[in-house]
Amino acid sequence: MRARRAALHDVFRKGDASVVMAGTNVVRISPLATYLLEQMSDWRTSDELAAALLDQFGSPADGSAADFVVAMLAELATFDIVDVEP
Amino acid sequence: MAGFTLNDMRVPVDVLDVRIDIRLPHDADPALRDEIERAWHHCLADSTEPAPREVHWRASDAMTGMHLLSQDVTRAAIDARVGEAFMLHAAAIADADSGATVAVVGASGAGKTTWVQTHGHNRRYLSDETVLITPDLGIVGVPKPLSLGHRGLKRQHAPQEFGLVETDGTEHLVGLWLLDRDGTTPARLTEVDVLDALPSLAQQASYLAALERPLHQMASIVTACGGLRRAQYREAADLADFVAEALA
Repeated sequence: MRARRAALHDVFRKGDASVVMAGTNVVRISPLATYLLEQMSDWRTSDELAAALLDQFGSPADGSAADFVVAMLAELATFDIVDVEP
Repeated sequence: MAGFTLNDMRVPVDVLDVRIDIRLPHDADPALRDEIERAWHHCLADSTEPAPREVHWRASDAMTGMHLLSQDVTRAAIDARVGEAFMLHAAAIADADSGATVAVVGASGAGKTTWVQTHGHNRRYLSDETVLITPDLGIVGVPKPLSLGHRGLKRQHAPQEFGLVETDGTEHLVGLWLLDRDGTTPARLTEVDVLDALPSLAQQASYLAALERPLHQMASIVTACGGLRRAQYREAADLADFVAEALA
């Protein structure tokens, strides 16, 4: 799987977290999602994103970083914040 | 009906700083025009020139027509300002002397009109429905008739029935509240983090995507007016002290 940041209307960042406007969706996203989004100015594989996440935040409390990234990308995609390809 | 021309059946109004002519059928009863002028008294424009925008009366009975007029004029004004400024589904009143203004944000049925009815007496009335806020916190509204009723057709009441005062263009935003009639007693105002404020306000904004950097514009306004606050309460009257303090 690979993903990239979609064409966003605006991103407002405060501290580690941010609010994103994609189309008519306006969504608050977590620090982890904010960080991931910043890594996706171009297509990145989920493995690359998982490695970047591990590097920045360490291992997740539950499950693997790879599973975490896949789940997060799926959620961001529902709001049209990222484009995802299998 | 002799003696009435098409031009006689025009009611010129000014809402959101947009000139609009309300057009009635040329054979309409002059009493209907008088009723519209009374209900829209706070919006009447002193102009004999035709406006660039028109809204046409589109009902056979007065109650339906007045209800639709309220929607149509508001929509025409919003459409005219698309992309120019931040517009919110909000009611607003101002201190009669200073022009200090509090706007309360909420979806239809959230209690905006009741809030105006309860707290607007002897205060300036900007709107029970829609306001436009500029980056320097200037604020204009649609001081239309107050729409009262729960579902379907809402009866339209002239602002002067509730002792509401006309605006003079000096109104400025000092408070932005999210109405939350959740039964909380005593009523309270709590600050909403700007990251939560933006999605909440976006739900009640008009044509947000037409603005340049809309989230930044919203955040700037929210910060400049002291932050979005959530007003939790049971009855609108429970917010009296908060309103008085904010407008002082």
